[in-house]
Amino acid sequence: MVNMIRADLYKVFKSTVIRILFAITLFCSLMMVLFAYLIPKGSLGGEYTGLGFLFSDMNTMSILGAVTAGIFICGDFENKTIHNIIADGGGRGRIIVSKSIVFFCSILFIILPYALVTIIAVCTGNKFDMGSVSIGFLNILSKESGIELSASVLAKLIVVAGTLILVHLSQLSLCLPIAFAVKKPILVVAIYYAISILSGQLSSLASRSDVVNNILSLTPFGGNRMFLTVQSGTGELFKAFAVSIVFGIAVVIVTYGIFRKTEIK
Amino acid sequence: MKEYVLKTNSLTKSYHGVKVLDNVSLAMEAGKIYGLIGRNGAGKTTFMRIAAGLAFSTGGHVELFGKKGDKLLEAQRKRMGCMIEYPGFIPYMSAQENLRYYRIIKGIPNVNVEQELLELVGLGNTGNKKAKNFSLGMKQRLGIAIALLGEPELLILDEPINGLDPLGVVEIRNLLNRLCDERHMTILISSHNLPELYQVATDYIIMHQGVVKQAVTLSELEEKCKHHIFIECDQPEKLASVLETQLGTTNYKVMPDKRIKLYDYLDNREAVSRAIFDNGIMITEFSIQGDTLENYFISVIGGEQNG
Repeated sequence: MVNMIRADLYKVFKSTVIRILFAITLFCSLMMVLFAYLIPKGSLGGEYTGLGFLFSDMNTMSILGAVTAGIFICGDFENKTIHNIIADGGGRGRIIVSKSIVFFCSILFIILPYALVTIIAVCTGNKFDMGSVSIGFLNILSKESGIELSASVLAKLIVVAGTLILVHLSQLSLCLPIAFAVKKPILVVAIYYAISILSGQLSSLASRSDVVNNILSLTPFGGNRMFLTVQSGTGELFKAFAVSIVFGIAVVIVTYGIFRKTEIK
Repeated sequence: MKEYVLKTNSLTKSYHGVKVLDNVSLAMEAGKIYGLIGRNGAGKTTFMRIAAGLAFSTGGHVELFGKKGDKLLEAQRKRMGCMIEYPGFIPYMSAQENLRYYRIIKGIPNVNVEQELLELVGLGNTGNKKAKNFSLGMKQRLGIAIALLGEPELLILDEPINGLDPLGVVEIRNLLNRLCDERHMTILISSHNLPELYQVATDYIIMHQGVVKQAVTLSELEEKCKHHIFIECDQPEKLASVLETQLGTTNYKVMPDKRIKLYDYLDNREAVSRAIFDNGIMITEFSIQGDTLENYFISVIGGEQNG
């Protein structure tokens, strides 16, 4: 399995797509910070928050994460490399685990600009705010900017950013079963984007229904997973961490269930 | 007990109630080249896909190197190399990078094997050219090189000469023969190019509508396809009588269309033509023929209407 992971990492980082995706997230994260800087200063009107949100991690990762799964997992079906791996005795369980790990590594790589740009922006001491649309790293930027920065706050900021990345990874893990089931990149992007929109709707429903809230809180889409800040308690951070890990593992197991007896065309 | 490289027992595969493989029982020995012949939809690729673990049988079982059962088969497949339907490669990588990808997966430490294999299949000078820009023949060669990584004991190739130029066909044929002779590799190869297959395979498996119609060795096939004098005339019954009474042979066959295949007198055709002439039989065709693999294949699967 280690060989499969090594080979897939070799493949992913040979691809120009991953570099393009990285460039897009870098650009979007900078734009997100720029909008969050100019709006509270009054250089941009409040009506631009919607446009600024388009550059946020919540929005871009929903698309680019699914694109990553589409290209690097569905692509393996299209160019038949997965066929060769199975025919060469690569077990399906090992394939699922190695592809999942490489997928998570790729997502980690492309989401890094958001984490780094957010932390750097907070460290500048300037005021950033995007109002009610703030979520994910944009929320950290809106809530934490302008605070007095100490070593412990910075350390917690890094922990919060790390946990938020984990929540993103856990959410995006849903792309795995979709990719292994439908095997078409465009469908993965469409289905996952629909899921992310649906999760937003469910979150608002959760505020009115305890049942929905309880169910959703067991997933990375529920609770305040996307609203973590330095003020979040250790328990909340740990719960976000644990739920994300367990959910991610559960999704990988489901993916194996789907792929275990699937015929490869 | 003899250990077979690949053995199937009553292998059956159905899709939506339609049998695409029906009780296929085959045994392949080491060091032989098996030609899998059949029309489109005969079940050749399905058979290969099940052997490779890409599809699952609905009945019967597969044995690889004497082992059966999902886990053991998975382990034995490490001794296999496959190229089924289309070569599997990463389009944005060069040939060498593709081989490196698979070499890492297989855990082969020897880096030199990449260039050696590229030289072996004639892709030694493709440099940084991306595989997506290769011609169909080059892609086929790359697929074969990938299948050969790790020196497999069983090589499964589905239509490997598709898209190859005539020289390429000869090169691949020689390569397969060499692999079989020098490395004692067992090769299962399917092809629609029957004359080409005839020059490579040592054994033939003829499939039709999911059923193995015949499994013959090359010598058995040659016997079945042996040469004859082909005679078409106005009085076939009289000709048959002449062959038996005057030429003293019963080694002939009257075809359904009344034409006659005479397997004797190939070196003394003059005697035959004289006997025909002396008996006032009018001939419209008199030629030396031999069944080609194609004709034989057509006769095995059930005549011209299936050919």
